[in-house]
Amino acid sequence: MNRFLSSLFMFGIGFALLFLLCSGHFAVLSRNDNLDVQLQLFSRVRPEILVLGDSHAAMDVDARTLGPRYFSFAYPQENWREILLKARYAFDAKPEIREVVIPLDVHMFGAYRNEDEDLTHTMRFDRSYEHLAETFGGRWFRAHYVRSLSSLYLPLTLAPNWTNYRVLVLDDLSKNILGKTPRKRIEIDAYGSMSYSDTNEFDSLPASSRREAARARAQEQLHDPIVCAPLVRAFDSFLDLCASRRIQVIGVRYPLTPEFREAAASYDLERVEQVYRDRSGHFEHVLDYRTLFDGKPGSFRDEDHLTKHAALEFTNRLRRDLEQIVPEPSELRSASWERGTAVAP
Amino acid sequence: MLFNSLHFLIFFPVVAALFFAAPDRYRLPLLFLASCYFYMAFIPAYILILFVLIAVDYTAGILIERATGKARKRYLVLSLIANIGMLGVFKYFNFFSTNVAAVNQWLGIPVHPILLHLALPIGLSFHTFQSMSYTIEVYRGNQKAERNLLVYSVYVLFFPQMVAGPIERPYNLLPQLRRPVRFETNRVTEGLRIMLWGFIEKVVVADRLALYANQVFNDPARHHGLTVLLGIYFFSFQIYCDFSGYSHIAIGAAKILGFNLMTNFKRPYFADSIADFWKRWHISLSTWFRDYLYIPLGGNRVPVWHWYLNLFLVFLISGFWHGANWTFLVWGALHGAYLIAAIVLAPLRSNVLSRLRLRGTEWGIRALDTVVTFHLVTFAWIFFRARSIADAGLICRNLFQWTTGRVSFEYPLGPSDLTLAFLCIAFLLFVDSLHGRFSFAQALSVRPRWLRWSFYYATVFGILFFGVLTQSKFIYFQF
Repeated sequence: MNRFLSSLFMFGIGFALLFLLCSGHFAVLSRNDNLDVQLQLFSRVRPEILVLGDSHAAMDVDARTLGPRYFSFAYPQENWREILLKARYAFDAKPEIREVVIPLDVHMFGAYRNEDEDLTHTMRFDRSYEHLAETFGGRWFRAHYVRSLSSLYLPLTLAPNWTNYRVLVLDDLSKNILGKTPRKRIEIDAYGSMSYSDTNEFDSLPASSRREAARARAQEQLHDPIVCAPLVRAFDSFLDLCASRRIQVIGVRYPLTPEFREAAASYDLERVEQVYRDRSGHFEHVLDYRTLFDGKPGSFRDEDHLTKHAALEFTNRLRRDLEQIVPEPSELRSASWERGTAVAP
Repeated sequence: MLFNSLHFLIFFPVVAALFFAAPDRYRLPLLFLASCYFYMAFIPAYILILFVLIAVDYTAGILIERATGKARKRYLVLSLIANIGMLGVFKYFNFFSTNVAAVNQWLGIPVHPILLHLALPIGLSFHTFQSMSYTIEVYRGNQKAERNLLVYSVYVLFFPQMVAGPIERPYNLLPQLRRPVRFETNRVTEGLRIMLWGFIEKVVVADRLALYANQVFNDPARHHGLTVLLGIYFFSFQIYCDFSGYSHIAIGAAKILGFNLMTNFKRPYFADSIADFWKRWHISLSTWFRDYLYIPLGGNRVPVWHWYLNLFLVFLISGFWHGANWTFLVWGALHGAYLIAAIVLAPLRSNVLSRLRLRGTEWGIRALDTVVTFHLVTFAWIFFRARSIADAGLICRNLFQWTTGRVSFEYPLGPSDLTLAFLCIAFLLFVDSLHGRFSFAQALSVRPRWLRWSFYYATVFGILFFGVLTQSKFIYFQF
């Protein structure tokens, strides 16, 4: 048995060394990912109006169309805890920010947005133990903190990163052997605009499949508990943060397909609406675009995200509405967004 | 607790280390506690159901052995009623209630079905069948009633195989639980190798193919032609690797602890007839049905029509064992029909072969038989996997709608993933084709350490690199 145990120990050491090697390789391949590009871009701009949120804000808003006064700091799947810490980071780094545009969607407090034991995403812009403990808290916070810190430095200790690693290695091989650079699923351009690389259209599906997809999506996003107290607390902290910095909050309800709205109607949305109603004093304005694309075929790529051309149309409309709320000072009107602010991803 | 979870990867080495560190007399209690913990990781309260089953069948075994005459049968029947009753309440009640209500509705009598809102205990069908096997064997006099409650409890609860088999027989597992176990490096290494292969089957092959198959079967209206065809083929290999992977991990884990479980799969997709397929697929269940249902019904020693009826009934019940849904009944009925058709058509086949001056054992004929058998089995899987008969019908209809020759799988499945899925199947078939002709384990064991270890490192990192690490449940956990 002792011989077996010593062999096992030696095998374990070999495994750990190979694991470190793979982790290092992954770190090299994954530098300049979408979040890196976004953070680099942010360091180079001086926005007055910050767009925050999850994939709705990240995909439906075209950063280039918005212009130099704005910066879209939204990132897919971010929840209120992450948005709060990202906002604090942004407000500290850019004191000139005067307005924030936030999503007031029905899924923002749902259980599926409450699952963030992994803090590595947040640690990319805020590694402070106090901030993270205050925002995430919970019984197992210390364990999650240590685990996240280890996966920040050894990303392959996080299971999903092995999938990313495989994709990156295969892409790298494809680039070096075949000379082809494969497209990422979500691409970020030099202005920070994010978009899906595919050209799927929700309307191309049969009606029954659209209903089924919308039902599945609504179930995923709105299943019980539809309002999670920790997310509401983070939302309140976010509103308090904005109030303390005298930053105006503008709420946006992003476009949704009729199929999704129909599927969502069977859930207890009133509880979410109550959360927003109770805090309506914090929002100077709420822009509701949920039905904006009804009857416009080809506008959605899935149940609740716009296609590229619809995102452009939506951004123009959003910008026009925002300009009415926050008029652009005349001296900035001539500033060129094309020069100086873009970085290569 | 899932085998493919971090929880198990910590749990198992700890249990194995404690098992070998503990003196003999503490090992069985340790296995009992570990098994309880393993099961309670799913729904803790459901361990009580298992305790009830253990109490009933342990007592029944002793009473059957002590009793004489009709009393023996009475105790057996009571034990069977308790086991099947448990299955009836948790698994079949809602199915019957819904269907009775539907029939009444059809007759114009409005009835609301009474539904029990109970989650199905994980692996209930497996441990009830294992328990029934014990009482039946005691009744038949092939097995002495177990007097040690702890030994009997571990027989039912033994964690490697408690939730999805192999469904053990008392004469195989009970004696092993009573004898002392010594640590043997070769056995432990062999167990680890078997587990590793199980992880490859589950995490690399089954879960990857599931990404495609799920898209087709979860929304059949969306997919047509080639996409549906690939989805069906992928499911065929997914279910094999999922279940075979589970069985291998179970057999490997048990082997490490010093126990030999029965083989559950023998290259089923190389079967050259449906009868052959059932000698290779889920062997512990098919032999259970053979020993405890088919033979008691008279087997093939009855008039021909009765034999056909026996075959059909056994497969129908086997289908129903898998799940309380019409889809499983159709799946079972299809297999029953295949077997009967094979028997009925056997003289015709012989005639055709003899006219062609063939014996039927030629390589080409056997390959053709294998391909046909695989496709018959795969066709039946459509009903097994579909959510409803209507969905299965839609899949069959859409299978023949080839508007384009393109596949329409969605993200996250790009061309490289599709290639990987095909490579997984090719790899599996290659390994299966070598099985029996070449012992990879033996060939590896005589190689120098650096080569063996390189192979193990490559395998472990291969699982991490190519695997789908999302901890998806094993399909057979639901039965």
